[in-house]
Amino acid sequence: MIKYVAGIDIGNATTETALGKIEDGKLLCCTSGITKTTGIKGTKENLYGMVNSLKEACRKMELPMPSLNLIRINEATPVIGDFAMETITQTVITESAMIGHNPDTPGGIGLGIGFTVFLEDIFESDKEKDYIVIISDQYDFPEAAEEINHAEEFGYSIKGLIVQNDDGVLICNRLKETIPIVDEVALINKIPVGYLCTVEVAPPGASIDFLTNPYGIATAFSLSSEETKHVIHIAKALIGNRSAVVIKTPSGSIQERIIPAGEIIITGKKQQYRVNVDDGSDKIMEQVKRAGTIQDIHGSSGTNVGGMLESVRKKMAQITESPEASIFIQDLMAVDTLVPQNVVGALANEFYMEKSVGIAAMVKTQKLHMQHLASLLEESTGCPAEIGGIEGDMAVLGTLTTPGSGKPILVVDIGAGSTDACYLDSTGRKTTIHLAGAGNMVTELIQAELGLSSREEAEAIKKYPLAKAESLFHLKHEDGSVEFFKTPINSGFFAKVLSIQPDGFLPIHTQHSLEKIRSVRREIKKKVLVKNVLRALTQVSSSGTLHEFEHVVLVGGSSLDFELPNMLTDVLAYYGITSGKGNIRGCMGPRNAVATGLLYAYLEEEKNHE
Amino acid sequence: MNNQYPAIHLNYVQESLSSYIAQIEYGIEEEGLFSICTLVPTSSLQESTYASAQASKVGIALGISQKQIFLMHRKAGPDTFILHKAPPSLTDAEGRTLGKNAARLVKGLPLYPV
Repeated sequence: MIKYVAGIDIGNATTETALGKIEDGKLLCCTSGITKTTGIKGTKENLYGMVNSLKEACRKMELPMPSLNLIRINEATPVIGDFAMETITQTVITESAMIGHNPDTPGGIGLGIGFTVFLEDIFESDKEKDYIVIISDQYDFPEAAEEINHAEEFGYSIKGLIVQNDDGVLICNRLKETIPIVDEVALINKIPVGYLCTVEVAPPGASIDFLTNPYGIATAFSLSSEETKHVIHIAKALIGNRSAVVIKTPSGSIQERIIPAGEIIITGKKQQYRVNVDDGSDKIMEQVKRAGTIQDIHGSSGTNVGGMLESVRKKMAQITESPEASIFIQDLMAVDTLVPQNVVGALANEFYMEKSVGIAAMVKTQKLHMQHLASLLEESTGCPAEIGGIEGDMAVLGTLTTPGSGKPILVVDIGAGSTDACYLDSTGRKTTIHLAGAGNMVTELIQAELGLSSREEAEAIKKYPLAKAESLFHLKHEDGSVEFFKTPINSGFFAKVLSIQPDGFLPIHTQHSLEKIRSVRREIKKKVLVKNVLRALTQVSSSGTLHEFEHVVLVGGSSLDFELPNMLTDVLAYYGITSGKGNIRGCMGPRNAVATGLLYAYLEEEKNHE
Repeated sequence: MNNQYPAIHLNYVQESLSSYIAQIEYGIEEEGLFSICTLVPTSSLQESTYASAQASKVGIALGISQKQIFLMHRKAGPDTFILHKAPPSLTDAEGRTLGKNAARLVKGLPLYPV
């Protein structure tokens, strides 16, 4: 008798189906379906996604859905990951004293020191002093240049210009004498008037060196040794620019303020471990490791980290409809990162890379309402539905269909919200662990560290390789290979860093170079994903060394990553471990492991039955 | 026509509005490049612009008439406009940006959105 059995796996990001045609305990053929998970995993909103995924598999088999004999869903591990970022330092400039932005085309060249004055007020000023003239967008460039020339003829000494429009070169070309001009200064009205100011513009191809030297600034403003200590932050923030302005204001003081980010309290089996978020990720991870099996994690109340951990707990409580007190955070992953933050009090929207810590937390509850979901599915499809098995076990069973794999095997499922690992040793004993930190954390860190405005771009950087459109007719890929086109590419892509997607290019709106984006991307993947796989290996190993493992197989959405498997192979080959992407049923790649596991578990049960 | 230095060629017809030409020239100047203006007959604007693009040291020329402003590239062939704008809806700032973008195509920098 022919039977049709479907296994459905609801993940954090996707819902996958494996549909098998079975005759006398033998699998004749198998199709699959995949859709986005609707709602949060384990809630009744999943039903829509499950039905769609099932429909897709049925369509491929050319089978009307009601003729299904059995639907099996997994006992999903009730695991939810969440992520938050804490800035632990902040550069604050009180009584704003610098313009450190980098216009593409500043005008003139050199260094000018003088007192700030608006162009409209120059003719009422004292002729004895040197001036830096501020030109608002009320003046068009021919007019501005004429006024400046005029003022110089009258005996005013003008040493530099600060311009609101992008007119630096145009003004410079019309001046009788070459002076440094910084343009595109948006918040021109915030510039303090009547104070001593230094303007520096470097020649093309060079960067400024007078204002990036604290002693240079001290020379310009005759600072004492005590005052020079305070300008180090200005000098630091200006490094790498082609033009800059520093203005001395009487109460100008800059400070790197340490924000109290809060304390993390980890409750282990025997005692509590405390660590400050300020201490950075290494210290936090050390305490997490020391705590061993974690009972729960709290953040000190009233702090950012406290709020973040409590919100994860609250979200989970709502989903499972259980009291917050019964929800425990069981793993935490912290990563150090640098995040561009606006310099508080700066004049041209300058930012500075501030230290921060990204934290992912993982919550586990008693049980999700999968039984409820099974009966809902039964109702809407009219086919019998049951809970087929535990997620981790099913993943191993499904992964073992990968050609070339064998026991003992460690299956690492890198999903969107959490990294799950299941180890099956040669005697058949299974160990399952769940770790915080996965695909979503990588996306968030990429977005934060590169200061991208859209999450879509961060996701694209994570998933696809990069290229740069070096001319209208050719692209240079990140590995150095060059691709030519017969027709010119879209001019909007010209000279931009592009993400090479299967259906075209996505321009990344950032000033960063391709090399910088690539190194940030790889560094973050190493810090989160590779580190998590190593954590998983150490936690499941009985001897504490990695040499006891033979196979590590990656499954789950994030293992589709184009470079992660190679990065892991690189690291794990050192321990003699074979690692790579799974290839479920020899054709599915790393997807569909759990769904396939559900189907194969049914086959095994049938066999035992006979 | 002076072809001794790197310049973007601007070909305009009798009726085109001089303010657009000026703004485009300013945009090119702000980016540090040079431009050369030539008056051409209306009937052969596209052909002469492509010829100018081929003659230009930087391989780029703009055709400017009352109805349209287009940018041609030596390598893109005589029928392809890399950028195309209609002047009646063009403000001074947009004209300036168009000039900057023409220069940025030469410099290999990303274009500004118009």
